[in-house]
Amino acid sequence: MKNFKKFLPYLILLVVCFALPFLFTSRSWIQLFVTIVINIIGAVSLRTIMLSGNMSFAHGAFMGVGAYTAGILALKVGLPIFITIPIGAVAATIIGLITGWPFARLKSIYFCMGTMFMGQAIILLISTLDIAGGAIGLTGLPSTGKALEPIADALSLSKPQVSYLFILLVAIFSLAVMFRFEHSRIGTTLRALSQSEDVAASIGVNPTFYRLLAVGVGCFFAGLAGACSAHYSGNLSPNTYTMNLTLWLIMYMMVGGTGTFLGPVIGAIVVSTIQNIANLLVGLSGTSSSAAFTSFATWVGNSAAYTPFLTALLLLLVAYLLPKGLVGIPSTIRDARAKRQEKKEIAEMMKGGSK
Amino acid sequence: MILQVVINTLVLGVMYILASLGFAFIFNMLGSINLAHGALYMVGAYVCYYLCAMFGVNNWIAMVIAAVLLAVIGLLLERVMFRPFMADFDRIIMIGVGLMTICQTFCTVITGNQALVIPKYAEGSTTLAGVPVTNERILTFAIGLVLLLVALYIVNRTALGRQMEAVSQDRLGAALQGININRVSAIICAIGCCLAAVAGCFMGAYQGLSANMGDTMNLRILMLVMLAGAGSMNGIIITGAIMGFLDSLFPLLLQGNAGSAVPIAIVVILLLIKPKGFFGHEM
Repeated sequence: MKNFKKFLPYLILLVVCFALPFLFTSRSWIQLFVTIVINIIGAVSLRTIMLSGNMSFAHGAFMGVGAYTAGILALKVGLPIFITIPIGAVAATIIGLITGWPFARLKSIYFCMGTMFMGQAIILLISTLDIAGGAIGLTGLPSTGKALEPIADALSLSKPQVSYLFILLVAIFSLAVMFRFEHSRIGTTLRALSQSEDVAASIGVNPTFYRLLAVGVGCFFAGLAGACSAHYSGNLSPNTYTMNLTLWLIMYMMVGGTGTFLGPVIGAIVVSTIQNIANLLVGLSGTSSSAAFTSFATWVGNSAAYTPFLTALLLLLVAYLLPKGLVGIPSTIRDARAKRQEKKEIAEMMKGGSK
Repeated sequence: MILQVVINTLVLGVMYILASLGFAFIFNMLGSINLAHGALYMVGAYVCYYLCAMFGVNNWIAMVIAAVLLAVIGLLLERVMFRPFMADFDRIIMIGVGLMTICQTFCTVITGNQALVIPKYAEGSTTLAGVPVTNERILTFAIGLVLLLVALYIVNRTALGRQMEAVSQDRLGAALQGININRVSAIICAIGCCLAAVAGCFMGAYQGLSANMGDTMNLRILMLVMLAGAGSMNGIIITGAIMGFLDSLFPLLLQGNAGSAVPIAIVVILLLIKPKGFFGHEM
């Protein structure tokens, strides 16, 4: 029973996720859901690396490595997507381990910034390759919708719906593995490393090995997310995977709260919804019959350039008001209430004393 | 070509150092990573451009106004951002990204996709060793160098510089010696943002304005400061020269994105060889 209560929020979230494409069948809604799910995998895998205490600023680049590997294999070799997506993830892992090994020398802020430069260098180097389409990127990748057409026909679903369900299954698999990873002995060891590397090393933990393990797992799922997103949209460009993507993945994690597993999930949902709200409304206005809604959506579309102000506002609000992120709202409110109560009691005691 | 590389190295190096001094001040003294520093540099350039274009102000006066405005913004930022969240890495990064987004969106919204350039500060060219060099670059280099020397004089020779050094070594100890920590950090934030604005004004005339000029410079600033290492102010001069050299040599040798990828890769390798930067200490 206790276990059931603990998993109840996850269960509700799962049911809602599966029901979404049937409640909101429009293409633009499903585009939004897919973006959110991909961002969730990215943010949670970033947190897996962060468990060891090192924040990687190269995560967007690893998504790019996964996406590019899958894209090149699908276009130049002609492999089906069910092979290219896992290979993309494995390629990201390999690159992550190769680069992560020398980076184990770097500590704290030097690690963060060093990985940031490395991510930028990786993406710029990829964009110089002819096979990767240069600065323009690749177009015409086989899409998930096309590959899943038989299943879609059998279940009488639309292509976007079935692609969303496929990516959702990938996400559930990823989150389950990362949840197990975090709550296993290895996760505990990583936490110990993040608290004090010297103490952990003194009881026989090999810091480099465990850090690399975390990097490997994190990069695997980053590559998976990147490959899925590339195959969903059918094209990829180096501009997608720059420093900005990494910074936003970090923001998803921080807005949600870095302390819990659910944090990056909530953060990714909230922030990517706000980021894509203008696209969504513009997409919906084409199918809507209500004239008022259409004019509203046109107005939003015209001011789409202003939506980053909303996200920035959210970041500032969370930074100033919610030290534990969005998942920490209940405990933040509780703390504030307890503090106020305490103040009141002290004030009453002072009054009583002065009588 | 060699002379061209040398001249570009000098100009770019001085501009990089000017832009990153403020970041380095804040990083060394307060331990905060200000990701919005590149955005402030961009805002300086845009303010200068719009003063010139819309009010017809002389571009030198516009530069001074932009510098003063950014100094005020620096004071404000110190009060609302660095003082409350000094060593809180997560929240400083969040506020930095938030500010960066606001500045970038603002610049994108007001300019659209037009290519803007700040009017030239000087006309004509001078022949140096048989090669014509525009007066603009000579002037940029000269003024940048003077400002840099002033900043270095402040850091190394004045009471304020000694107070900065003390604060960056030990905040509590410095406070016990009677140094007003908040006053010192407010002053350095103002100076730092002011220098970034001046660099922005010159680079806006040299390379033109765009909404992602802040991003490009941000990366350069971070590379410069990380290569120099935490706690090192004078090391920035050397790493600035290195970065200026890499950024003026490789775009000439290689085409397209490779020209900007190789300098970054070289910096990563240098950082792996010297994990605490050239002159830094552990954070």
